Amino acid sequence: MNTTDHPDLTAYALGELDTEHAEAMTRWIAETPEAKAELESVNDLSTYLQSTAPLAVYSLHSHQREAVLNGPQRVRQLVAAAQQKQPKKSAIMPLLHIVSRLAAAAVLVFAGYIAGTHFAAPKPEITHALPKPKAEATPPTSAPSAAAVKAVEVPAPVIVAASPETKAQTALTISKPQAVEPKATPKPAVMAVAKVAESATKQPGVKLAAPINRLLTSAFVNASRDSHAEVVLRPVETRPAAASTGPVAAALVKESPKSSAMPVKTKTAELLIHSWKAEVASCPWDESHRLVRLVVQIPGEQPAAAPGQEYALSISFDANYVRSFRALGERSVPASAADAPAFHIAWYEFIPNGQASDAARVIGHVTLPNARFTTATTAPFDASSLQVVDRGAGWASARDDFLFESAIMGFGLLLKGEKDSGVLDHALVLDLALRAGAEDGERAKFAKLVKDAQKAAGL
Amino acid sequence: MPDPRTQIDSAALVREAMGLYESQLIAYAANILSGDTDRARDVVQDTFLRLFQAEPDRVRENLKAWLYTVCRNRALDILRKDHRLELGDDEKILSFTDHRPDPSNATDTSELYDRAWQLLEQLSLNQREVIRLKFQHDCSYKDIARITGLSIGNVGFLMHVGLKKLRALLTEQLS
Repeated sequence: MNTTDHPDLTAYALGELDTEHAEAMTRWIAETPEAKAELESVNDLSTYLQSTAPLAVYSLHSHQREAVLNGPQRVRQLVAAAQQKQPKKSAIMPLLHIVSRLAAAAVLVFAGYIAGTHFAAPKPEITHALPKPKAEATPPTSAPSAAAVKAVEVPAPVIVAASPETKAQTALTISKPQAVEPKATPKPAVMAVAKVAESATKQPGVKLAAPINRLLTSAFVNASRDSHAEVVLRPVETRPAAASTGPVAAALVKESPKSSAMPVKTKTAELLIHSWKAEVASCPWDESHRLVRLVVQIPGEQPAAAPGQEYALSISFDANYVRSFRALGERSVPASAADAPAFHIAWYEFIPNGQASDAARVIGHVTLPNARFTTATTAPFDASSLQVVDRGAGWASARDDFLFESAIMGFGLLLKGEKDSGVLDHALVLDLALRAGAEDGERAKFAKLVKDAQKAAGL
Repeated sequence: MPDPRTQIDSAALVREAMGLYESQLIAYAANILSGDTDRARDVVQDTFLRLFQAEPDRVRENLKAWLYTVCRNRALDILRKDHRLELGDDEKILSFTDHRPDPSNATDTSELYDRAWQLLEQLSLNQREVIRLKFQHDCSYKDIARITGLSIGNVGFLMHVGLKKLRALLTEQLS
C-alpha cells in the first residue's frame, strides 16, 4: 500500500482487519509517518463517535409488546383449536384418500368418454347443415365448460371465506392481543419502568450518599481460562430527613468484584446511563502491563433507583490479546445534586499477549444489560456492548483523572502488599498524584496521606 | 404441531431480543423511515413476530444481524411502497473522497467533533447507515455486510469514505 487514503487503514483503526492483515498494516504504519497521522485522526473521530453516539430510548407500545409476547401462546391456542375440530386420522386414512381420488378420477374419465361418444356424432351434421352457426355453436359448447370451470371454482369461495377468518385471527393476535388471556399476560419491563418513573417523580427529594471506594485487588487470572469479571451496580434512592419536592436521584453502591452468583433478573427496570468509556494505557509500575479504566456516567434522576435492582457491569477480555488480568478496584461517586450525574469507575490491570503496539486493538468488551442511554438526539447507542480498545497509549500521556486514579489504585496495592506490583512504591504513587495536579482539594489530601504513609513506613 | 420445546425456545429468544434490541431496532427503523417512530414500531413488532416463526437454533448465533436484517428489509418494503427509497449514488460517494489535511491536527478535538452526529445527515444514505450501524449499534463489518447485503469490501469502502467526508464537513463547519 502506498497511500494513506485507503479503506484498510480505516478498517485497521476500527479493529476490523484480520490478524495477518493487521500485522502487515502495523509494520507499514510504523514505517510511514503519514499513515500514522492518518490513523490517529481516524482513531480520534471513531473514539468520539463511539463514546458520544446520540440516542433516544424507544419502546413498543404496550399493545404491540403484548402481541409479541403473546405470540407463542396464541399460536398454541390456534393449533389446539384446529386439532379439536379435526377428528383423529387413522393410519389407513391416507390410503383411503388416494384410492377414493383415483376412483373419482376414473369415474370422471369414463363419464367424459361416454359424453364424448354420445355428443360427438351429431356434430358433423350441424357443421354441414349449418356451417355459419358453427362458430356460434361453439359458445354453447364452451359455455358449459365455463360453467364447469365455475363449478370447479366452487371451492374457491370456501377458501376465500376461510381467508378472512384466518386474517381476523392474525389481526387479533397482532392488534388486539389484550383480548387474549389478559390475566396470563406477562407485564412488559418497559411498563414497569414507566410505573417506577411515574411513582418516582412523586417521591420527595433526595440526599445523596457519600462516595464509596473499594479495592478489588486480587491475583492475576489467566484470560484463556476465565476472561470475565464484573461489578454490580445498585442504584440507590436516598432521601433527606426533611422531605422536599423534587425528582428522585440515584447514587451507586459497589458490590462484589466477581460474578459468582449474580441472579438473573428478567424484569429489571432499565438503568439509564449518560455515557460509558474504557481507557487503556500502560501501567506505571510495570511497563509490560496495561491498565483499563472503565467509567460509567449515570444520571442523578434515575427511574431504576428501586430496591433490589442490580445491574452487572461486566468486562470480558479477549484471550488473543490479554494473557491475564486482575481487578484493581472500583469507585462509586454519587451525584452531587439531583440533576448532576453519578459515576461508577472500575479499574483492571492486564498482561498483554506479546508486545504492545501502537495499533488499535479491541482487547475486550464491556456489557451492561438492561441499561439504556439517556436521550440526546436521534438514535440509541448500543448500550449492550462497549469495545475496549487498546491504542498503545502510555500512562505518561494519559489524562489527569487516569493518572490520579491509577495513583489511588497503586496506593491500594501498596497497602495490601499485593504481588506483581513491579516498581511500585510510595514515591511512584506520589509522583502520579502530583502529575495529576494534586496541589489542592481532595487530591492534595490524598498526596499528604501518601506522604504520611511513606514516613510511617520509614521510607 | 410445533415442538413445545421450540416454542419455549422461541419465546425465550424473543424476550431476550426485545430486552437487548427493542429500542435500538426502533431507532434504526425510524432512521430508515425518516424519523417515523410509529411506523418504526410497527416494523419492529413485525420483526419480533417473525422471530417467533424462525428456528431458534438457526437464529440465535447471529441474532443481532438477523433482527437488523429483517427490520431493515421490512422498513425498506414500506419505503418502496411509498416510493421514497433513495439508493446510494456511487458517483457521489466517490466525490466525497478528498485529500485535504486532517482537521483534527489543527483544531481542538472536542470542538471539532461536537457536530459530528448532526453532520452525519449530510452523508449519503448508505454511508450514514454503515456509520450508524458501526458506532451506534456496535456492529462489525461482517454484521453490517450481512444486514445490508453489501460485501465486506463495500462496507469498508463506505465507512472509509463516510468518515473522511465527515471530517471534511467538520473542517468546513469550523472554518
